Amino acid sequence: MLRRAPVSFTIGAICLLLACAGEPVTAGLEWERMAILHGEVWRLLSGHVVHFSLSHAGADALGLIAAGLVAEPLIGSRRFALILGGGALLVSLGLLALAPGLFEYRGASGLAMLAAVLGGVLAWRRHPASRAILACAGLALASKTLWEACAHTAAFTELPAGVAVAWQAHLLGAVLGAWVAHALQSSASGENHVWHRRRT
Amino acid sequence: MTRFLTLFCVLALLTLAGCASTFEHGGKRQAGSIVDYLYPDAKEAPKMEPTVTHLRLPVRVGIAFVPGAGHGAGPEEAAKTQLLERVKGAFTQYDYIGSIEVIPSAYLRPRGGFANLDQVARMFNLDVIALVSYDQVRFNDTNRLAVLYWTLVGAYLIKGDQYDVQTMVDAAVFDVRSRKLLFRAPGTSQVKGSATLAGYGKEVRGAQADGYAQAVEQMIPQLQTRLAGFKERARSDPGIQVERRDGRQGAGGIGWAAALLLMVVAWAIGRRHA
Repeated sequence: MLRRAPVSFTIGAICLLLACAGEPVTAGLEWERMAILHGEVWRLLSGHVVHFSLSHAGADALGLIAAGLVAEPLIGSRRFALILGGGALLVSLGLLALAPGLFEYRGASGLAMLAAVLGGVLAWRRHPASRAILACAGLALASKTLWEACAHTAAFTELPAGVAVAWQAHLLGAVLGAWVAHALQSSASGENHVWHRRRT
Repeated sequence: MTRFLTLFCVLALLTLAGCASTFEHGGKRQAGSIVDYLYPDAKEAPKMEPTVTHLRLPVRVGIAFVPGAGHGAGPEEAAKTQLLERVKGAFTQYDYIGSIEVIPSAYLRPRGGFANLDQVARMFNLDVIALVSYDQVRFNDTNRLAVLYWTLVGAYLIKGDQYDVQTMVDAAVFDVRSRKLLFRAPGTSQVKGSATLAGYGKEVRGAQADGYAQAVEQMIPQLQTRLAGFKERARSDPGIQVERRDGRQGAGGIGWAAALLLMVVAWAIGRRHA
């Protein structure tokens, strides 16, 4: 399993390690609007690997590893790492622009959603036999995000008091995952088209 | 003639001695105690009730000197305002502090207790109030040169009086609603010097003002450190709940159920297409 998704396992392990590092380290790495606007730009990336508790980190790490086990073998580890890095940056910038009420954010679930949607869309094409289970999982995740967006409460997520689920990060991750999957499929079909034209 | 000269010398001596004795030796103390202000009639320790402190960020902070016991206790009102403005200036850059109001002493009643604190908080619309208590002791001594005061000119030229002003200020930050002490930070200073008899009053007043200013300067970084410590403590202390007034803390929490669901999907796909 580790060989199938080394990037996902590495990020998951980093999340768990940082969850044990203590509050001063975590506070220095979290996505914090004012700090980022004052030049602490590393928080755009590091905010995705720090969490509010070990349980929070464990759930996110497991979700990311599970999604990575589907997506990473389909596109390759190097490309997957680049996509996650770029995705982390875009999700963070998206939160800055689209969620003005959000002051602090921690969690890898935006990346997990990106990987899940990316893997789901790619697997939908390549593994038609798994479409039923993919559809069920997609529906469940969409319902969860919709519930969190409408009810402003966490669904099946234990978070400290006063901390709400940033569903915007999930939505941004999902949109980015879908867009990356579409771009990868378009480039793959373009390459196939050129290859067929060359053969004929 | 001899008798008249003797009488003149005795009178001159008595007059000069009178000059010297108008000036108070020993020491003087100025104090504004936070315990006297908040618990004026307490005969036993206040009962601690386990309450949760709710802080809504950005917090509205008030800052004031604790009223002293007597008339003229502590620094002058203008100096107080100036010192508190300096404290205020050091805390304006924090995004979780919405506003800082400098509260004039006239709004705080000596021995006013929490009832007075509540009134001030309502009046200024405050969540948290930083009360600066103070204790300044001034010691006066004369040195060997003071003997030259007898020359009369010496009283204007010779620095025969020494002073030692020791000041302690302490900012205690209270949540007004829960009446809980959130954190505190001290600052101390010692100002020593010497003065002529004629210029003693002016010099000492200046030294006392310097003492307060230096103690407050020392208190500001301590207050910033304690504030940073409190920010960390607030995250882990179940007795303190922090929420955003106009925003919130967010977590990218996928949750165990969704994570397990994804794991099942990954396992199913892996098994079918291995």
